[in-house]
Amino acid sequence: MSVRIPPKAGPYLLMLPGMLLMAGVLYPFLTGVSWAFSHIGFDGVARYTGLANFVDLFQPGNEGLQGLSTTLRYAVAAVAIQTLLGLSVALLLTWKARWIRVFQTLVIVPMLLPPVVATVMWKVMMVDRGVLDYLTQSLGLQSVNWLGSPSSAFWSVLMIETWIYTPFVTLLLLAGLHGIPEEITEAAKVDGAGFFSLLWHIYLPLLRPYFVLVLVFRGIDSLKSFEVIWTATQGGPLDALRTLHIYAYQFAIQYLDYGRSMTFLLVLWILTYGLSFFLLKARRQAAVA
Amino acid sequence: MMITGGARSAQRMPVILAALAAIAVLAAACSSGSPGSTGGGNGTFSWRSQAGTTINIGFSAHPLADSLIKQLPAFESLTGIKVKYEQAPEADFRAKLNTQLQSGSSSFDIFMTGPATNWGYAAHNWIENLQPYVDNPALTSSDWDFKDFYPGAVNTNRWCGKEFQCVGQGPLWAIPINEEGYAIHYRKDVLDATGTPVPQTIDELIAAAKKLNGYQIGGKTLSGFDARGINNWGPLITGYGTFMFAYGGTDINSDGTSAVNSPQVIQATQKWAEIMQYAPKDVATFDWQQDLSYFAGGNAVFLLDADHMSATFEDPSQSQVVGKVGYALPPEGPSGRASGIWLWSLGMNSHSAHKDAAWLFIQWATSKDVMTKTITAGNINPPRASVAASSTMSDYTKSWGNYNEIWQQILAQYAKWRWNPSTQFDAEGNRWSQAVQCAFLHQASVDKCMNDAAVDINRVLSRAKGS
Repeated sequence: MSVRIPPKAGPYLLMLPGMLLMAGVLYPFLTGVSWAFSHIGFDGVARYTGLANFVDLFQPGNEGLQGLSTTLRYAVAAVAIQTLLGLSVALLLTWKARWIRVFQTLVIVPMLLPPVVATVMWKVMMVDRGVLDYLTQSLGLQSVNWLGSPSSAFWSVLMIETWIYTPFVTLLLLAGLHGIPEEITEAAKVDGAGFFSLLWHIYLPLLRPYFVLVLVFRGIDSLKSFEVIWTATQGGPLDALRTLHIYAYQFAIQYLDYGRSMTFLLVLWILTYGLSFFLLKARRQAAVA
Repeated sequence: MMITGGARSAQRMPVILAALAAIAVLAAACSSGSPGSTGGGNGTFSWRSQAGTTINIGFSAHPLADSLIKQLPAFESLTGIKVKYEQAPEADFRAKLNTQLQSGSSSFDIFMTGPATNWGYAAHNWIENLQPYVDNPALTSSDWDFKDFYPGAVNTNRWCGKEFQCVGQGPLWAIPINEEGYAIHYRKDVLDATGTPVPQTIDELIAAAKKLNGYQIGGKTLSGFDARGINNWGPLITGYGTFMFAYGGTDINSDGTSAVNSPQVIQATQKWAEIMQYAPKDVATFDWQQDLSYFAGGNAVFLLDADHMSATFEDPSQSQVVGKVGYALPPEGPSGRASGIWLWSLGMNSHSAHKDAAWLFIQWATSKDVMTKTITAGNINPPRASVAASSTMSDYTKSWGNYNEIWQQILAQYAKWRWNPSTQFDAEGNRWSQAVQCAFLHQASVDKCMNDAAVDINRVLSRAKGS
């Protein structure tokens, strides 16, 4: 049995799987984009409304700007804390002590837990008269209303997110630190460089590509963060943790308003795409230089 | 095999399409799109009319679901219908159900629903009007006895489909199977030991919660009060709602604007903010699971929430307060006593391909016999008068003090749905609950919290009117 393929059809057939894949990616995405500019009536038909959803949501005092502000504050704080902490732990793990290997293993444990499970675990410890209350009181500290007040809930949820995701930053930066040739650090030490000089003049500049990766991965994930926030607080108290993603979920799943939900998600997509585009461009330029 | 374009296959295409269309038409004809299209073909009711069909049910995690699941083999042998089901915690269940209904999926033929959720489903034409099934003797057993349901319970599931109007009128969107009103639950042992009378009014309840906050018993320091405080609409129909409606509050003004900042609602919210000072400090995270387990763990003196939580409090495997709980009517305010109501009910997917079989299940599950059997599995507060008055109910609750009288009194005199129906009820209610949090967490004055909420809720209401 022979298969005769016209010569002109060959390239198109080879492209077919890729085009099907692209269609699989683009069709749902473009449907979502079109919904962001539509009102979906009770009959399920999407009617084009132009920028009405954006105008409605992104006016001062309305959900959109509030969600955008919370999303950015949350992501900036999460990335800053996790990068700082991840770098500190990575530097600790470069010590050449035998026992450090135990910590190298232990440090990835939070990454192995599903985020929802890890969040529930923390939530149980954060309840009134829970484990954390006991610990703070044992240390003579004031009792903290971990998840029950808007200001503390924001930082408590960030703490959970940091506990879960800092190991990822640590592993990435540790790989970078291991990639720095020992000759450079030894030479600097011979020249009398102390720890902070090494950090400032050797480690930080050479880790720059790794920091870009951390910013891309953790930045995007923090902007899109959902499971930790929703499991811990459902976005509250009040609207302390109502990010764009939380609003999108509530509008679609609870309020059955898919048009406005997609408006939130489109803004979130622009943020994440912009972040990855500019950071990866910067990385490519750094590599060329 | 040859991959070649050819005139022959092009000629065949219309034939193939026609054949596919014919198959689709036949398949559609075989599925029952309207009541009675396949069941009771000779005009008489038969439990076996849909034998061989398979139906799928979506259950929220609840004692009523557990109790029905235990009895599914009996339904299958009675009808010959195969039942498949999924069960998930309430929030996850709603997320999955809403997504499936939105996509027009018929994967759930039947699902658990309630008054507030019915409205969105009805507006989108996702839920079937069950009145034609009730009225059709070929589909409904003569001994099902629709009139046996409490009228208030049935009517809460009726809605004409117009925003902010006519709840209790028009199509019947679901059949109730479980009722909850809202009662004061109190620790008898603590009140007895301190000589504190059972509070009758809101002011008495606040005074008693204040007095007993921090009371120590059995190695525990108790909170004076316990209720839902989370930022979804749950508190509005439960604890907070009893205060609000006892102060004569309402949700919508006569001019169609939100009444969240009306004098009555502000006064009630001030009282609520006062009593929440005696609740655990993280009460703003409390949904029903948290306030229930907090009270069942013996950590609070008073709880204002669903009366049927008693099934947990009186269960030694789940509770540390068995035999120590008293039940009282919701507290009285300037406008008397008030209770909201919630009815877990069974609704039918309007896209279901097995509507008659689904109706047989709904009918069976809400029958006197099955509803009676579910009581002993924890599905208390039956919305049928005969089952509520049955010896099964009184025997099951006989060691629970005055519970059996209190819940029936609440249902008969105080419990009713008090919110105007709206497809935007979730958005409106969530924003209202945030304002209540703002008040009891002292983020601003009560006036400011409620005035800010009024601006936002009016915007939500205008969205609903424009839908």
